[in-house]
Amino acid sequence: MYIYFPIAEISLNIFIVIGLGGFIGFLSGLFGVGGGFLMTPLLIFLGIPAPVAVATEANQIVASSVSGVIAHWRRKNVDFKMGAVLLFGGIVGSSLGVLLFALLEKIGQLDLVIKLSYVFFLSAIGILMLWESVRTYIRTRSSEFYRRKLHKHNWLHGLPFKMRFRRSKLYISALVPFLIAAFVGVLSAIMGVGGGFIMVPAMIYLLGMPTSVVIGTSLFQIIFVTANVTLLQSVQTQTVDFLLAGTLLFGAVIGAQIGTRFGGMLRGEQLRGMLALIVLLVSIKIGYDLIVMPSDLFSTEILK
Amino acid sequence: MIQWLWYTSLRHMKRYIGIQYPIGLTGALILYILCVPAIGYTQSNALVADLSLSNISINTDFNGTSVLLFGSVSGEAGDDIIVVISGPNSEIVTREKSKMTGIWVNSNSVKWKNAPSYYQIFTTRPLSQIATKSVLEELSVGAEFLDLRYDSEQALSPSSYLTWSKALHRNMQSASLWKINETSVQVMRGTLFRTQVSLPANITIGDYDVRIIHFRDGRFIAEDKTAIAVKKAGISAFIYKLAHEYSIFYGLFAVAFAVFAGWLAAAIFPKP
Repeated sequence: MYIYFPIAEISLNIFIVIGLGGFIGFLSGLFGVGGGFLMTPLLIFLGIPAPVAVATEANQIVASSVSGVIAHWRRKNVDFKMGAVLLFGGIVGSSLGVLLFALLEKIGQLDLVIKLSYVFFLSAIGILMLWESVRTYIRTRSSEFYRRKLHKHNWLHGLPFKMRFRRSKLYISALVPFLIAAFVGVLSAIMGVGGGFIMVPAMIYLLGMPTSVVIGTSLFQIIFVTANVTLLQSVQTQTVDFLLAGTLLFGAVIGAQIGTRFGGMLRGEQLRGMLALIVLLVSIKIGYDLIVMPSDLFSTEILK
Repeated sequence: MIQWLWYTSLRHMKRYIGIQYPIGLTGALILYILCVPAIGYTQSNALVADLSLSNISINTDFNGTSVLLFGSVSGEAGDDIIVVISGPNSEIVTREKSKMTGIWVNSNSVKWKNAPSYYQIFTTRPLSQIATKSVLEELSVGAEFLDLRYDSEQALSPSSYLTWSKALHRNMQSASLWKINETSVQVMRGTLFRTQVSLPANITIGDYDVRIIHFRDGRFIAEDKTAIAVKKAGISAFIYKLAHEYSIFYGLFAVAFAVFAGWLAAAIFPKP
């Protein structure tokens, strides 16, 4: 059964779209990630125009982050004060990102920038995760214990505008989370991702937040950033396909439930190692397409 | 029974001729007698064509469609029919990739101002056997005879114009939007012809001009015109219109829907 998506202007088999949503939902439930960084490239592989894929995925992430944050909220794992600073930075960054998006589309280089960002960030994150999971695997084998400090102090702690974040047990400059969130916001708008895969490590390693509040707080701010992107893209580029987002969401909700149940059966470093391999595979595929000589050097696109 | 037949035929006549109802039976009969030979006469020398569907609605279940084009021609055995369908002129951009620091990037581009988004030809025999190139050019039958205007940073030299327009042809052909369907028109007893026109799922919204041309021994005999209107309809049209005309409202609605859906998912499946 085919369904015509009015904004993407493409007709796709509805079961493929729901299946894709389900598959990414399954992975996101399994690994505890948003999945935007896998969904957007796969939508592009399906033939959906890159601008529509990016903007529509932002819309879908709003929904998955809302359902994710509710569980963390119940367990009081959200630092709302930190979240407020992050979302302020995220709104500024994502608004700039949407402007940049429109500019790149105008000069015909949007596809290239989207793909290059994916290759760069996916391969960097993939390699780091793979390295980390292999190291953990070896360490647990040799059963070596060591105690970590709450967090290390470095030059980031010497910046002005210091604020106290009680839930995160931190007293740091508000500039650091603001700037990180702004940077991730730009990527969020251009890549069609929530940005959790960059935000979470940044919160742990750069800000030194306790792991327990990191995911809840990151999800909390992602809701606002992706909502901002959805709204701005709707107004500026009209590339949000609400019907596509809804169909993907339907599959993703079910997939996430199955994924969460499977996730309990596997060990953390095994999960991260598998996710790292998937991430690397996607980045290699996108990178390969950029390097290999196209069969026709000319391409034609019908503008509206 | 007979009265009923008269009544229904009158209703049809009223619709076709546009006369006021009620009208005397004799009046209708006289009109009918007058009209029939007149219609018969005009048809005797002409080419008449019609479509099984002239309004195409793109709703959410659209996956391309096929339209039957049929008609009659007062022809002889061996006559040819060419059907040219030209879709709405869109702004079409052709880009050239070149290698920069190891990766292929779009470098030059040409924006076509008046290229048709769909251009298909349906014929009884291979085009070259129907008429000579100059005859076809005069009738502008063929994508190579389109008078393409472009918008580029610099004026193109004749040779580079050729390269770009060839690239456009190639790309549009591989997307199955420009195509020559040779021997796809069937003519029966020299008078009735038909062809199946397929419109892919990615067609552009707008009016499609349909030209039907009758050839005999390489010469033009007659031409008829009709049109296909392609529109978005139903939910698909509603979403498209909302997104383009009330985009703030659309964006707010998309966000509100996502928040609601996310909340619903969390409520239905509580985390263990």
